[in-house]
Order: sequence, then C-alpha cells, then structure tokens
Amino acid sequence: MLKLDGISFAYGDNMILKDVSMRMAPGTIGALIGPSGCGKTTLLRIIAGLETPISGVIEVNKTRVEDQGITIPAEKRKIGMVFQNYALFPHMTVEGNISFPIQQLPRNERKARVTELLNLVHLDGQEKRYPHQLSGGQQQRVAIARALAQQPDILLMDEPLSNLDAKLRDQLGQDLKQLLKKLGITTLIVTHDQHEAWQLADEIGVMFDGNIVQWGSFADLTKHPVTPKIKQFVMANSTCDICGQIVADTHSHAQILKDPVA
Amino acid sequence: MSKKLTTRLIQTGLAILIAGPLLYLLMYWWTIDVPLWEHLIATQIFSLIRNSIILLLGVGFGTSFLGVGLAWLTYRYRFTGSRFLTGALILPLAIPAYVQGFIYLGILDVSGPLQTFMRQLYPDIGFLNARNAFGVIWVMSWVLYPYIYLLTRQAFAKLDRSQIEVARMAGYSRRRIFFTLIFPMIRPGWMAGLTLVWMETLADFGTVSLFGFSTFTTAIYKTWFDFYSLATAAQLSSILMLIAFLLLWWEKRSESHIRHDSHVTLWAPQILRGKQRFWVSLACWAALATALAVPVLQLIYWSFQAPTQTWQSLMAPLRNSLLLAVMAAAGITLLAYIQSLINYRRMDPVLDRLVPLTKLGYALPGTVVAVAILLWFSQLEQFLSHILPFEVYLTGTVLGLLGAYLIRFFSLASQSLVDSFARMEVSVNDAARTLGASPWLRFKQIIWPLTRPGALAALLLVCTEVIKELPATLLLRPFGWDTLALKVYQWTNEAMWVEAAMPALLLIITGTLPLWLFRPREEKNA
Repeated sequence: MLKLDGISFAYGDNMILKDVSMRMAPGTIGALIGPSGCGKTTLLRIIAGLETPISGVIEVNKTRVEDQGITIPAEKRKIGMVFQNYALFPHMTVEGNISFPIQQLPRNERKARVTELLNLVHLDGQEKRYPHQLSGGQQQRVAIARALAQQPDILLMDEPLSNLDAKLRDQLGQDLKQLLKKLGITTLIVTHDQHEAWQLADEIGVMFDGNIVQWGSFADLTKHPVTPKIKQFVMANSTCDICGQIVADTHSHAQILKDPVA
Repeated sequence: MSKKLTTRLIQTGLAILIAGPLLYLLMYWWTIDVPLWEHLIATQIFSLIRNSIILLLGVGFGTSFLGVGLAWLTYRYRFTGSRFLTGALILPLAIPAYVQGFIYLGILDVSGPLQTFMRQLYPDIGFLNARNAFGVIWVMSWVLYPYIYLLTRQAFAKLDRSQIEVARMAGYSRRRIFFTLIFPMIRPGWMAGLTLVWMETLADFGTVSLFGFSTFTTAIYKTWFDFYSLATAAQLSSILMLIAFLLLWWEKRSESHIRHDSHVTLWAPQILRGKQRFWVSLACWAALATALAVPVLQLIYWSFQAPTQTWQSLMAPLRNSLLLAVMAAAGITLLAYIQSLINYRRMDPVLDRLVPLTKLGYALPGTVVAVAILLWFSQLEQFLSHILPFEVYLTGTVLGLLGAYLIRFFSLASQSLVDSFARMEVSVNDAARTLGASPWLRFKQIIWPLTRPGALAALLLVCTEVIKELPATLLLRPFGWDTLALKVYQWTNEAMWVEAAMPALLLIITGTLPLWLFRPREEKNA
C-alpha cells in the first residue's frame, strides 16, 4: 500500500510539486503520466527517499517513511526502484548486481536467491555476464531482479519501456505486467507515454504542473475526465485510433492491446 | 555539524591552501626597491618584454606549423607507419624543453659533432652559435608542438564529411573549403593548444637560462639570487602572473560556440600511393626523428661515454626525485579526490565559486609559484614562531616543495578525476541507495571501483610532472638536496653534456609512460 498526503517540493523558488496526495491499494499497479517537466519523476524520487519534500506525509504499508520533514533515508526504506537507464553497476556481473542488496546473507543463501530471481525474470544461467554484454531488455530484467532482491514493500519504475526497441516494447510490456501481477507487489510507474500507461497500469494519475489532476482507472479517465485538458491529453496520442475502440469496451482493453495497431 | 557546512569548510581550506599564496603574492607591492627598479627599467625591462614577445610569436608560429600540419597529415591520409605515428607524434612532450635544449646545444657545440665535421671540410668556416632567439624557438617548437597536434587532431576528428561534400557540390575549391569551413571548425582546438603552448613558453626557465636568453623567469631568478630582493622578485612574478591570467582569459573568452552532433559521418581517410605516399611518410617520419629519435639517440650515445662516478652520484638524486614524486602525487591525488567526491552531484553555489580558485596554479610558471610559496611560508614561519614557544622552520624544507607542487599540479589531478566522476552514471549512486547501501558501502563498492582509473591516471600524471619540474624545485629545495632535474640543470650549465645525458634519459623514460598510455589513436576507417 502506498499513501501520499500533501507532498510539496521546490528547487529554490521553483515549486515543482504542490500539495500532491494519492493512495494505492496493495497489489495495484499505478502509473503517473504527464508531459515532461510536470514533476512526475521528482515525485517518484521523493517516494524513494532520494529527494526530501518541504512538507507532506508518505506511508508505505502502514510505515511512515516521510512525516512533515522527518525523513527515513532512502537506504532504510526498503523501496525497490528501477531507473530509466537501469543504473546497473557496470563493474559487477549480473550476480554481483542482484546480490548487492543482500550481501549480509550467507553465501549459499545469496546464491539461491539470485538463481530464483533470475528464473523469475527468465534470465537463467546469466550470472557471470556483465551488463554491457546484455541487450536492453535483459538489462532491464536484471534491474528488476536487483530491485526485488531486498523484498521491497513497493516497486517504483521510471519510464520502464522507453529505453527499449519499439518492436519489443509491446511484448516486454506484457511480460512485465504478468510478472508484477504474479508477484502481487504494489508498483508505481512513471511514464510520458500514454500507451505504456494503458498497457501496464490498473490505475492512472494524470499530472500537470506539479499536481495530480485526476487519479482513476482507464475508464474513469476516458469517460469522466475532470477537465478538458485531461480529455485532450488522454486522447491525443498516436494510439488514439484504438482509444476509440477501447472506450467502447473498457473491460477488454488489455486484449485489444495484445494485438496492437500502432 | 551539517553536511553542507563540512563540505564548505573542506573546500574553503583547499582553496586557501592553493590560491592563498598566489593572492598574497599579488598584494606584495608595499615595499618598492626604487634603485633596483630604476636599474631594471634602465637595463632590462624592455629587453625582457621584447624577448618574451619574440619568443611567444616564434614558438606560436613554429608549434602551429608543426602541430596543425602533422595533425592534418595523420588525420587525412594513411601511409607507411601512419598508425604508429598517430600516437608517437605526441611523445616529444615527454622531453623537458631544457633537455631538448641541451641536446641541440651539445650537437651544435663548437666541439660537437657537427662543427667538428664542418671544420674538417672547411677549416675557415668560423664558429656557429646556437645560443640565440632562433635556437630557443627551434628547441621549444619541437617540444611543445604536441599540444597543438593533440587538440587540433581532436577537432579534425569531429569534421563531418557531408559538410565538406555540401561545399564541394556548391563548387568551392579545396583551398576555399579549408579556409571557410575546416579552419573555423578547428580554430577552437588550435587556440586551446596555442594557449597551452604560450603558457609553457612563458613558464620556461631551464631552456632560456641555458641559452642565455633572458625572459621574466630568469629575471625573477636573478633579482632573487643576485640582488637578494625578494620584494622585487615578487613584483616581477605578479606581472608574469597577470600576463598568464590574461592569456587564460583570452582563451576562455574566445571559447567556441560550435556544438557538434555526436553522430558525424566520418571523413574516410585517403590511402596514399606512389610519390605522394613517399613524401608524406618522409615528412612525418622526419618530424618524429628530429623531435624524438635524434635527441634520444644522442642521449644514449652520451650515456655510454659517461664516467662510472656519474652513475654513483645519481643515486641520491634519483631517490629524492622518486620520493618527492610519490609524496606529491599521493597527497595531491588524495586532495583532488576529496574535492571531486564532495562536489559530485552537489549543487552548492558556494562550492561552485571556490572550485576555480584551486585551479589557478596550472597557468603559472614554477618560478612564480616558488616565489609565492616562499613569501607565504616565511610569513607563516614568523607568525608561528611568534605564538609558539619554539622556532618554526618551513622555508627550505620539503614542505615548501610539496606546497609548490600542490599549487602547480592540483588542477592536473583534478581534471582527470572530474572526468572519471562525470563518466559515472549519476543514477548508479541513487540505485545503490534504494538498495539499502550505507554511504561507506557505496563508496567502497560503487564509487571507488568506478573512479579508480581516474585516480591512477592522476597519480601517474602528477608523478611524471614532479620528476620533470625544474624552476620551483631549484628555488625551494632544501640546502644540498638534488633531484634528477636539478642534476641535468647543473651539469648542462657547465656544458657537461655527457654527464647530463643519463639523468635526462631517465626523465624522458618516466615522462613517456603516461603519454603512451593516453596517446591518440588512429580513427577507424569509415
């Protein structure tokens, strides 16, 4: 479970986030979408503990990690984060990367965890390879395995599909959604690509100028947009031709997207 | 104490350590030795200025001709040995100018091989004297051209073939293409190289003193040792320092606004055949021979002639050189590493103001730095002896030398570290944080392994620079202390070429190592 209450953040005099609140039930996959510069990545970094907000409360599974200026540092939060460029440690093998957060475990236990995680992300037997020897999709899966190794309470992903080959994106998006659902982990994804959000998320928040203007399911956003700007943003993208079909049958949108037009 | 305050304190301390003596030097105008200045103005100042200008123009022209020319040939053409030459042509930088100088003096000496041979042919030919402006310019050009070679070569490598093709289809002649397209694009690189060349020219002490060609650095040395006027030496130093800063400012101001695409269509080099191949190969190999092979062979020849006592008398200087190099390199790299670490990813306007202060020293001649350190340390000595119950000695100790090296070479170490920190993905550190790694663990397992190559490069660069350094070492060394560079200086001052050859060879060997590791590589064929 993830709960934000009244999060504000500024760089100098520049207000980036203004009183942001939201709530996600356990096991939900949420997506934050919005144009670049709307503050969505900053919000993700605040949840991770990499930036400190001016004010606000963050609760993760009933633990207050941020409480009006009292901050639990990122290293103690047990929040998994997958970075946009994956941020794999270039001088460590796949095994070294994944076992990085569980170094305190005994050796054989650690090995077992790495094997298990690699199996989970379909990278069996790749322990000894280095990040630069892997494809973009493989690198991403290593990054996910690494973030999961510490058994985090929630998972954060920054633009998970944007660095991947356009042809692979849909397939990998489906795989990712399947994996997250299997794990049942609360996940928050940040993306500028509506298509990606529709594909992966159960709930979507639309951000403009440091505010989550609307948070709801795909159907809510398309059927009852709270402002004209949201309607425009939700509809205006390369996949809007399929949006029409999806709106007609909101319950089966995942199936339609399995056979993408775009 | 807050983290921000700690980093600011460390950075301020570092800035004072490095820039303090320099700024103190600039203020040293309160006692003016009127008779000495009258004497200087009457006899020297104008010839100093004239000599400096002749030197700057001559060396500027010589290095530009060699540097741009060789960069163009190795970039544009493929010929016999071009791959090797691409890297090897920067190696002359490993020869200290004063070493190159004494080798040419030795070869052209009255008793040297050339004149002896000529006199056998024509007994009445008279004596050739190499100790003039042309000699200094010749020697310095062959040592300093690699700066321009290196930087213009990098600029050439960013040229886009299609830009040239556009011009060709518009009917531009080759010459017009060079002057309207290629030259403007390589100009920033050339100017950056020229600035480095000019700074080294102004800073040179060994060569000009060997050739008896007086410039500011020799004048500073003279006012100090012959007239015992530290104040006047400080005043001359501050003039030289201002000239150096003026140069630096000029270079910064003319910094290029050209931003290159990361994807350039490489301009396929031309594989030369026949006559063209012969002449281009000959030109490049002849350049390498003049700059490197002939001097090194001459040194090896002299080394074999050296009496055995020479070798024994080199042991102590060798030990001192190594000791100084290791101490200075370790200390400077450590400080530069700390600075990079505390500035890494931290956006603090106070730090941004202080960092440039620590980089002032690289533009300054060793002579100036030595005078600054001496004044600063003697002031500190007086102050400490006043407040402490015993006498404190700082001047004339190894500490003075280390202080001068710190000022001179801090930015060298810092540059190599800043580069390696910049290459590190920023998110890597964030990722380690979200994975629960403590600051110490992050340093040990992520930051240090990724920046270690930069630290090693810094260590190596500072080591070789310290071993070569002459003027500051000469002015600040503890009494009776010799290093390899000082031995070369002393022996060459007495025209003892044979004895000087061995330590000079050692200097060149140590200097070659980092250059070969960081040499430019031939571009892959497009």
